[in-house]
Amino acid sequence: MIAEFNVAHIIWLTNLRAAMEFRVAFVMQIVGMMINDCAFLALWILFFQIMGNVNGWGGQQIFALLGMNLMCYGFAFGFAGGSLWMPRYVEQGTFDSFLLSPRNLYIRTIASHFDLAGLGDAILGVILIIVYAVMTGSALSLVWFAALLPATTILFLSVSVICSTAAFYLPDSNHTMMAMFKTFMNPAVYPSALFPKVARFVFIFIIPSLTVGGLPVEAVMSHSFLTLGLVWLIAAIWLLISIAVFYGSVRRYESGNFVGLRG
Amino acid sequence: MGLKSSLLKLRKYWVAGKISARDSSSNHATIFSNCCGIAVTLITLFSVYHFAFAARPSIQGVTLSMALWSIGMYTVYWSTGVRNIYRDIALDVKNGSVEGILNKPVDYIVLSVCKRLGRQTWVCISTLTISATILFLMAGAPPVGFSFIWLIEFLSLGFFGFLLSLISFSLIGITSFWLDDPEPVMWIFDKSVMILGGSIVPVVFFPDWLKLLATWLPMGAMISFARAFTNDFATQFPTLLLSQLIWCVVMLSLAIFSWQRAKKILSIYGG
Repeated sequence: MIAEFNVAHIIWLTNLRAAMEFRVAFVMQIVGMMINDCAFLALWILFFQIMGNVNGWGGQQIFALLGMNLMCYGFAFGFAGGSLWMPRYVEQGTFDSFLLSPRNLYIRTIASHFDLAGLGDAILGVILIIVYAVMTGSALSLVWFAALLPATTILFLSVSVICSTAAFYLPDSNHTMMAMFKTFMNPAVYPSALFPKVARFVFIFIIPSLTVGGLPVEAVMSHSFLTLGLVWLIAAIWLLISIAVFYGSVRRYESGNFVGLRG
Repeated sequence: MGLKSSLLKLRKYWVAGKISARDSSSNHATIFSNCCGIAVTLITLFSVYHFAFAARPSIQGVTLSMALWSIGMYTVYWSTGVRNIYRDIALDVKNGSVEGILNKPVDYIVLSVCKRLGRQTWVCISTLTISATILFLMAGAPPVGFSFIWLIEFLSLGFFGFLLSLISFSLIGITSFWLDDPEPVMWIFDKSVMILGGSIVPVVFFPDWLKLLATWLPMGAMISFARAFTNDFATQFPTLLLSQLIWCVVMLSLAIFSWQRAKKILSIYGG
């Protein structure tokens, strides 16, 4: 497994160097994405200014919520953006090259693409989390976020892989995959305390949107080891499901006889 | 004769749109997943507002129904998919297919717009149906006194807002002739539309300075029809319409100018 991650590490470095070749585009993508993300922050701060604190949530919690979401998104797609590119690989027949690779297919596929904008997300996410820690005066919260981040990133990736396997069943599945993924992602940026009980259950276990956003923030706020354990457990289950779904779906793949070279 | 030839010219764009619509109608999974996405987003957002309004009938004189209908209108705008025009143009420029289309007796930009609108038809119809159902279920009937004048005002703001969106997003697409990737420009523009259009917080709640920006910037003017569900709409209407008309003229002039320049700098590599 360590060998697999070493290969993934080399692919990431190669992709990063390739992205940095076009310096203006590199900076524009990162800065552009950070400005783009600030829109959500501005909107929610405005919302809480008008409405006041709602069910214990206010401006501070929004920093933590968006920070967590952005770090997940940034680390997941910055370093493993291949999951979102799978429909393109399948449609263009370039998935053949992954099948022929001697490396682990799952890791090789998701590590194949480096999303530069994801780096902007990750940087802003880290900044927001630090701002939250400063505002609440709790350095310990940084440790809590660090303990939750791997689990939520794994969960994020697992869901994106499951959505992307639509490519093996449907033609022209890119839009379908994106729409499915947005269904998962949109509720993640809403304060979890504002969901009624049934909706909470649905968005924690069935569509695990709150598990990547609201639930980790609740764990940090209450220092609840139970919630921390729950997030890790859900992430582990979704990872296993995504591996099973991925390998099950790959069996349906029919080669497009595409001939080419990949770095 | 002049009218007939003009109609014949327009027919090819109509046919292109129709073919795109027929083509996209076969993708049931996309239509279904889009509907699910819209439903989840609206229900989540509306639940948040139900929570916020739970202990009070109105906030700053705005009722829950007014807030939800205003936000719902942003979804209506979003479901038209008009913003994706920039991506179609950028993709054609990137992969070089724009060169081939320019050789044909069609206007490339008009063709791209028609194809996009055609491709979006079924997604738009289905998401509008879902949005309207959720709106009626969660917000009740629209909080306005229906009248012929109100309807004309609402539709005219909707029409010019749509036109302004078409032109603006085409203009962003045209920038791909100069920029390697217009995506960062789009992100900033799109998020400004999201804020000033009232996607999560309706414009009626904005502080005065932000309301002024929402009225007089094109990003807000595109969705000013969402303000038809508030109390001061009748007095606001002339200003909102004027802003839209000014921006339509400005953006159209910019788009025509940029398109002429873009055609001059286009390098054809053959293939």
